[in-house]
Amino acid sequence: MKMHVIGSLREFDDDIDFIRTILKTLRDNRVLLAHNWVDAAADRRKRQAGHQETSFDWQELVDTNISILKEVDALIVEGSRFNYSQGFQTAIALQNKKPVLNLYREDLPEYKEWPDKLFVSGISHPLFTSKPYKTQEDLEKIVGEFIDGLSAKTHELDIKLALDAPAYEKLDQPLRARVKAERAL
Amino acid sequence: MIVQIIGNARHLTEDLPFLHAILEVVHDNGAVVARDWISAAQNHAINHSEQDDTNVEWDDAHKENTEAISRADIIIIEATNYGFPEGFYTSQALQQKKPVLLVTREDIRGRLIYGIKHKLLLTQHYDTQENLKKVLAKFIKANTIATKDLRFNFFIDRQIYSYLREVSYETGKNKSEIIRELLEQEIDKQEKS
Repeated sequence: MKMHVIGSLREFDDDIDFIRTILKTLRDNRVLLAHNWVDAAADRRKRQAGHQETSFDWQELVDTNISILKEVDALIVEGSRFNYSQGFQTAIALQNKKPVLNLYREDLPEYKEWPDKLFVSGISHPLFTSKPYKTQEDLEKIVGEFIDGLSAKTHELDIKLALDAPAYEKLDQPLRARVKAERAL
Repeated sequence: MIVQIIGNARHLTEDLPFLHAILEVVHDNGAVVARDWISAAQNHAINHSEQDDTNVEWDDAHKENTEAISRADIIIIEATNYGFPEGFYTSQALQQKKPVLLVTREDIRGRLIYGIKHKLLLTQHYDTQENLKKVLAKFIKANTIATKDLRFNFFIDRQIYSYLREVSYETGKNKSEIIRELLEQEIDKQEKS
């Protein structure tokens, strides 16, 4: 199983430990992470203290995220900051029938002031789950349950495939050219 | 033409003159609004504080907005105070292949919202109501497609002509019907993929 995790850079220093807990829980449950942007973002912040949001190539970032969303099994949003990009990506994931888990810390002063939380509470899509958390232990539990719920619906099948000579040749050619793995083909 | 306007009711006092300007331009161009949440938000603001959104039925509001986007031909998003909902609806509209005009009084150059590029998404900055009205009128005109049947000349080669003639004879349908059905099948296929 493969998942994508998104968060906000706005209060990244406050959020990073929670985002890392999500990533650790994925690893502990043998879920592949589609794109580890967290370490790169943390490193960039260290090197460029007081960096500007304007220095990013947003178009490349958005395009990368959109293509990732199409290949993953689910999306996890650290949504305590409710930003435009999270809304944009949540809608893409749901449109592509990918389950979305939105996680937020309701004890943040910012959260109490934030109007978007009410909008998010109104998204009544069967694949959308929104849950509050306070501690890293809460996160581990919620993310673990989300993974368990998805695993129950995911079945890996081992099958034997009998091919005739022309079909085998078609399969073998790209394999020899090392373009794709047998499974992918 | 049906237009859906998306905006943020939290900053209604600040945004209202501009939301009214959008409504005015929509009506002046012979279009109608899919869901008029602005009047409802105004009524709500009379009886409650602008910051008090707790007694709004958010499930219903979200469902109605989603349906309105599906019904609309074009979407206008007032995104000066943009957040999660504006991103959600922009994405939803683009996936339904609806032209989206995102207007804002904030300078968003260099921000993530500015990095979202799509052939159907137009992002414009405005300062005044006059400025806003010009941007809107231009967008509505550019996306106005006559609702009556459209005609155009269609050049085809001998092979396609023979195919059309044969299928027309077999099915009793005229050539235009056959082409229309093929295009509809292609649109369906693309929408499902």
